[in-house]
Amino acid sequence: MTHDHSSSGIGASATAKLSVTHVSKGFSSVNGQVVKAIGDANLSIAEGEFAAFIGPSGCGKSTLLYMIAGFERPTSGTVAMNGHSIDRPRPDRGIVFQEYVLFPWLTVEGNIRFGLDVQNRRDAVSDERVRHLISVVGLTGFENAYPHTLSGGMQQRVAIARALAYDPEVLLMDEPFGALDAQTKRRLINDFIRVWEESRKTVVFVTHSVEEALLLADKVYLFSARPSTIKQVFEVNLPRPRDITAPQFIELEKALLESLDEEVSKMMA
Amino acid sequence: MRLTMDTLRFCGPILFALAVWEGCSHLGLVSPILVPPPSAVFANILRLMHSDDGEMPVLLSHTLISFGRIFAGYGLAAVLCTGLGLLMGINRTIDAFFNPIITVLMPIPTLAWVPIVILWLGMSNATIIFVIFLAGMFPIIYNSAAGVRGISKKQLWAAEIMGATHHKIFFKVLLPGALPQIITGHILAVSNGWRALVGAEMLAGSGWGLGYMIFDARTFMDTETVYSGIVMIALLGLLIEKGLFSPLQHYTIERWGTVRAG
Ligand SMILES: Nc1ncnc2c1ncn2[C@@H]1O[C@H](COP(=O)(O)OP(=O)(O)OP(=O)(O)O)[C@@H](O)[C@H]1O
Ligand SMILES: [Mg+2]
Repeated sequence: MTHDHSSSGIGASATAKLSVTHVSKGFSSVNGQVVKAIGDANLSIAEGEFAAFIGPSGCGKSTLLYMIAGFERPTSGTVAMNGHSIDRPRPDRGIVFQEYVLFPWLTVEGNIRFGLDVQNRRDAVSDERVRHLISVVGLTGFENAYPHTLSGGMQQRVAIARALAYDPEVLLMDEPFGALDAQTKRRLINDFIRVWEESRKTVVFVTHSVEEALLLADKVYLFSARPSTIKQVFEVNLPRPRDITAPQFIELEKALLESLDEEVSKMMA
Repeated sequence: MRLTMDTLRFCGPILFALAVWEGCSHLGLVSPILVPPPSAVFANILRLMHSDDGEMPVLLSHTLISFGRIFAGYGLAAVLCTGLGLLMGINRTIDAFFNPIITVLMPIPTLAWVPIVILWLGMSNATIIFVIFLAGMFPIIYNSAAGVRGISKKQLWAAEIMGATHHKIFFKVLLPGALPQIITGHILAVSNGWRALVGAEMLAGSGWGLGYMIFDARTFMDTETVYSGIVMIALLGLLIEKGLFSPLQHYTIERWGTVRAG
């Protein structure tokens, strides 16, 4: 179920929704030294694929996600969507951050409508879409609440609805459940699977949690220690909702954890 | 009910301080000339607010003229400097140009400008208004710029990826995001404005204004009128705070939770 993914050819696949080809990324630090976060990343994500990025802390998962978003540019190599090189953030993508990053001056509904509003798309269809989203993410009754009055879990529901409301082709998520307690997290994951199954959008999901990755993703991309490459890709061919006690699940979890631990200890060294 | 409680809580300590002051006066602990009792000051205010011949009472005239000057000087600073501050927060080039100039000018006490402004504009209303403008300029620019710089990169990224243009980012993200600091700048501008007003009216007073009235009464040792002027300034300051800034904060940043409610 796993295969080596260090060859570069796959990244250039023409049918890919997202392709990352020989991407490197360095940051210059204060004292002028260059930190090479990503060494040579290659991957391609198919239309409708739920992809998870996992790897040791500081290996460049967020950095690669931000390059796909168009917030950052690669030092070398190309990041492309639908075969076109990504040059800046555009509304064909949506983002969810770990820290929610809602607009505190807008109500729940105002936040969710933000994308539609700034794109001047206010009509019956979009109104209906917003109403539907509010209900599927479980925020009915809170439309007029301000974000600071909501719990962390509810704020993240708003952030997810906000990113989906304007119907982007790709949803990018940077540890969206990382700040939540285990209980809230489990409920949110289940709800999110339901929401995702309605549209089956392409998702790139960064996480620290092996379990989270295996519960959600079609493919798990394991990053190596810095300067990172994609060390391994794990395919998860299990029907959703997944059972964390199923033998195949446990087997995958074990393999993934082992491989991840290897990279984490390299990072510590 | 809530309002009367708030009013009580606010006025209680002030009334207490006034009562102590009144008591000290009557016990002869302080000189009735240098520190006249509050009752005498309020009686004086009533007297100055009274007019027999149908003309406007003098205290009211002084007050309205001072208020008008504050309004004009602060209003000018609010309109011109909020925009400049926000632009400096957004654009590095604009900031690089104005920042050194502002850094050099900011420590100069506003009143040091008065003699120069008198040379430019004469002993006129324009001089006083301009000095109030100067007093309001720096806090507004500085705080507005800082407000924009405090907005998180991720908030801007989120707006951008959702398709917001520069124009929309300005009005829908930067402006509301910087509002807590913008309001702080404006509150400081008004309070600096009052200080500058009193000084400028003393130096360039054209016969009117609370600052002029205080200065004039002092030369006649009319301390009750001096205190009356001070009380009017305090009341006007309170009026602006409770009538303008408090409601503005209440309906925006307190409701949004971007500042703690007071
Ligand atoms: N703006 C930046 N300036 C300098 N260095 C940066 C910047 N952004 C990221 N880095 C560095 O790049 C490396 C990768 O960072 P990144 O945030 O992508 O890691 P990550 O895999 O998301 O880590 P985590 O799992 O802890 O979130 C880190 O060493 C980080 O210090
Ligand atoms: Mg990260």
